[in-house]
Amino acid sequence: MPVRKINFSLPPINETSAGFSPKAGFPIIKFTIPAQEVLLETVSLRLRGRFKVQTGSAASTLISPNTTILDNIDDNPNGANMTNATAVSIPPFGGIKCSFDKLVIQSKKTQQELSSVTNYSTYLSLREARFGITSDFRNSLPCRSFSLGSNAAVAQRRLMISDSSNQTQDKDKGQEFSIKLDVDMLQNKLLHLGVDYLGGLQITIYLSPESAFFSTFQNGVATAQGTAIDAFRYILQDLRLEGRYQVPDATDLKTYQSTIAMDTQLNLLQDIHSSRSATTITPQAQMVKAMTSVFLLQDQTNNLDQSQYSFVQPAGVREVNQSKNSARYPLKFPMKSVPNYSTPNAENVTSYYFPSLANPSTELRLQFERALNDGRLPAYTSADLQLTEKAMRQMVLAVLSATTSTNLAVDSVGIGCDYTMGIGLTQSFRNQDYSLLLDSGVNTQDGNLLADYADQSLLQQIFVRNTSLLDTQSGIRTM
Amino acid sequence: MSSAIVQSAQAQSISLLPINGQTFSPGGKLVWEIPPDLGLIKASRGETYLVFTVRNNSSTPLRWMLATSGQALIKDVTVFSMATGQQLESLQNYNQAMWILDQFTQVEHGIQQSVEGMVSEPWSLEFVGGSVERKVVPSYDSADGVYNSVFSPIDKTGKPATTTEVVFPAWQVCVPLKLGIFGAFGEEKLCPVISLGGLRIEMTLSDAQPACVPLCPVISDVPLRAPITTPLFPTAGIVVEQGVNLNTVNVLNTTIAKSGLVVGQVVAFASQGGTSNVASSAIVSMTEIGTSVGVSFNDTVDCGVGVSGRIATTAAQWASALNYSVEAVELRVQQMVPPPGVLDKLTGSKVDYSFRTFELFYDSIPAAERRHQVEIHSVASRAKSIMAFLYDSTEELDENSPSYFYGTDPDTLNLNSVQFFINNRLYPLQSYDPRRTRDRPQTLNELQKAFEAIDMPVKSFGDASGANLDSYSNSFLISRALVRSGDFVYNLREAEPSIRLGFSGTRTNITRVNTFVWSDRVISVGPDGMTLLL
Repeated sequence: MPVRKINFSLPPINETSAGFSPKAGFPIIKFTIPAQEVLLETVSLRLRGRFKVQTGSAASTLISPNTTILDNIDDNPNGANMTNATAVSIPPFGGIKCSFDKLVIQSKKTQQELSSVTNYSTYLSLREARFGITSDFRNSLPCRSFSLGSNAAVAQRRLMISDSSNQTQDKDKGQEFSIKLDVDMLQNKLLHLGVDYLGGLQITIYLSPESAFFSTFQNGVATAQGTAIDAFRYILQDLRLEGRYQVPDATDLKTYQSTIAMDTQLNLLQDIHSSRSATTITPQAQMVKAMTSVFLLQDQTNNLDQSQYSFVQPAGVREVNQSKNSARYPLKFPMKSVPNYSTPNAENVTSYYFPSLANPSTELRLQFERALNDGRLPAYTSADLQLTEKAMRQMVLAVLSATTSTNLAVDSVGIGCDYTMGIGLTQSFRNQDYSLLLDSGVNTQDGNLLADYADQSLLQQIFVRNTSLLDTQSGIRTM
Repeated sequence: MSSAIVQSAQAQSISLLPINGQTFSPGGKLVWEIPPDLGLIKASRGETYLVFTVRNNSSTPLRWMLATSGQALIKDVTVFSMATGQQLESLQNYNQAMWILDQFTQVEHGIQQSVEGMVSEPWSLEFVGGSVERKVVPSYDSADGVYNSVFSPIDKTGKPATTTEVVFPAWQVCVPLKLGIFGAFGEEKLCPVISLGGLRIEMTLSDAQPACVPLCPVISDVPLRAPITTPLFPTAGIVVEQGVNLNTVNVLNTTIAKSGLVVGQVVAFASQGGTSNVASSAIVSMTEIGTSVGVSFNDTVDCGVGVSGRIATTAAQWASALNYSVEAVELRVQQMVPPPGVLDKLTGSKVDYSFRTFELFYDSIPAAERRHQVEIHSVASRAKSIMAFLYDSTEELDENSPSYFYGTDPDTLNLNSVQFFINNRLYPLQSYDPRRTRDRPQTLNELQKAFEAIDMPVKSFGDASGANLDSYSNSFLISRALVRSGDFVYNLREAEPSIRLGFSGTRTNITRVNTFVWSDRVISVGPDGMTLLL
């Protein structure tokens, strides 16, 4: 039983008065936690700071809460009379956490890389969509990271406001946030920081460029569509890494397990250009819990008019097979999506009153949820058919009525398979292959599918969910 | 030389087809055989589920939704041992029981609504206009309104969403098969099909009613609760004169989806004050015009000179056209491969497998009775709790709101006294009045304890928004926990349990009482064969 706990608050070692920003400052944030004979209580670790949005390069372009803007937000959440200043939105699932592209944790003693999480924000966004229902995002933990879920359409524009008047000191401008670093090594563990163990930690955060974080705020009103946000930039300022150390006694040290198990996800990328595609990977991980894939249209990347965090099913998906070493496993059957664009008498998706019903992918949805939640269904989710319907509607609208389209509903579905079977089993993929065979409408230009959706190649982001082991004494990590 | 990759039997999910066909109609029976070779299967948390498509093939185009979810289609399930033919479990009114569990043991239904075809409002009763009403069936659940439309998707012109424009596309659902023998009730477990000699599962599909309910129109965001008496078209009625065609009649303040109508649907008319239908006509087109829907009919409709007309087609008439078919049925089974040591035990000299299930007892309360005793003839020696579900017999298959699923509330029944009589003792010591302004908290407390006794804690008492806070919104149940949660059991064999009910007044109709008795059973497999200990 630890006799003492010590709170700490650490600034970045490369802190500047300008803050951190891909455009307006330095895009890499570094924290070091010194070597000392204490245990780092990772569950208490949080990153606190202020989030500011500027419409241009000068500090004076901070978005001011003048009466006009506030009126616009309060009276016209649909975007009418939207001014340039608030025409930007950030990912609804994940919020400010999606500004982190990559996190690297190194031992301060050896500079050895202990954990490296690429595409941090994508996976985090998926997880957060399973955090709760709409109201939970307003009144629970995610609101501290500006993760607003389905409330984003009406609440998010306020987040962009900074009190930029001359009477306000710089330290009070912007929006305060407090977030958890959702990295495998920092999940509910006690890490020994002593020289015989980790010897201190160095945490490096790489920020996403604005184009991968911001998107325009389009809510169905033509006047808002033309607002350019190319010059917009975000700044993270006054960052502090805060948490608690536990000072161990002799008994704690005696029982301390130097090897820790971590829930890790490996990220791999692939392109899909055809209606019949096969993705094969060899992740070289020993204890794989699940495979999950999410898809982005090629237009979604580097496009400020679309959110890079809206993951939709491949257009017209008809059948999915997932294999291990060329044999279907663990789902020994093809998963079929009914109805789909080729079922008899299928109608064009744009004709549907509810376009999501044209290609529901019911079983794919079920298995994807299991893959993300260790073989079980999440108790709460925002990623339901209703969210898909909103996302599909805005896609149809973007094609049929581009000047009054919306882009605020982001879907969160994909394709996955679970290996835990709900009881913690794992599969070895050392020198063994995982294959995803996808029969879809991608690039078919089929008349029943939505043009501009079906005619695009897809970026497939695969997350291999696995358990890895880290020896905190030697720094050796076993995948 | 690198070592070879060995592919060995591992835990996996396989698919089994029914042995007696692929397409089934209402009332049909589906039979599965789960061979003993599968060893252990995991099914206690929905890992084993049914996949099938449901097609709306009503005799004339008609939009409907399922009354609860895909579970509504499964009326009864019986499980036998393949090796011995012995009946191991019989779940009568399976769909009724599943709706009760879905309401109380799930806190959020987004996944169920997305994959099981569950309705947008997963509760049964609501407090409206001074009285408690059973669930109504709005065709439009929210701004997007997708859940209630999945089995009857329409296009933007109001036609079924296929190029034939008369047939609806089939919709795929994934429905967990919740059987006691699978460990679906209570603690999580694996089912040793190898010890049980394999399982034969017989499943009877529900009739189209009560499983399916027609969508009723929503005008000005208010569902029409009684289409029989409420004019669908402008409240004042339409002046329909002899020989005047009803083309482009506007239904105000609705949308095509909300109207609940579909092109091809046959609608009957009566004069505004009349009761008998004077004409009928099929809808040939629908158009959204601002906040109204213009509906055109195939024929000239005459209600009489200078007489206002109204739609007289009732939900009952539409319901007679209701039909569905279940197609492409498969059972996904999650097989677990037991380690060698466990396998030996499962095939050894004696295996005892315990599981929790329910048995159902029927009773009816005559309309005029003021006191009634519901006898429960259970001989379960390991009973856990009792739940009684009451509903109006004449509304069991109600077209808008089947009481078979949604039940009836105690105020409507004039039920003012409840007390259990078990083993010559009264529980609780003093009877309580379950009506909504009386002992409703105690009623809900008893219910919560009854669910805890079967290790399925209550997570939701339904929707308490607005006036619903004053009433029951999930199905009303009379409940009694016989034991606390855990391993405790109660022997009902000689206890002769009954429920003593008192009423403040008579009722119009006979009330049905379906009593579910939850108990543990043990299947004992040994050299002498298989025995089922109730």
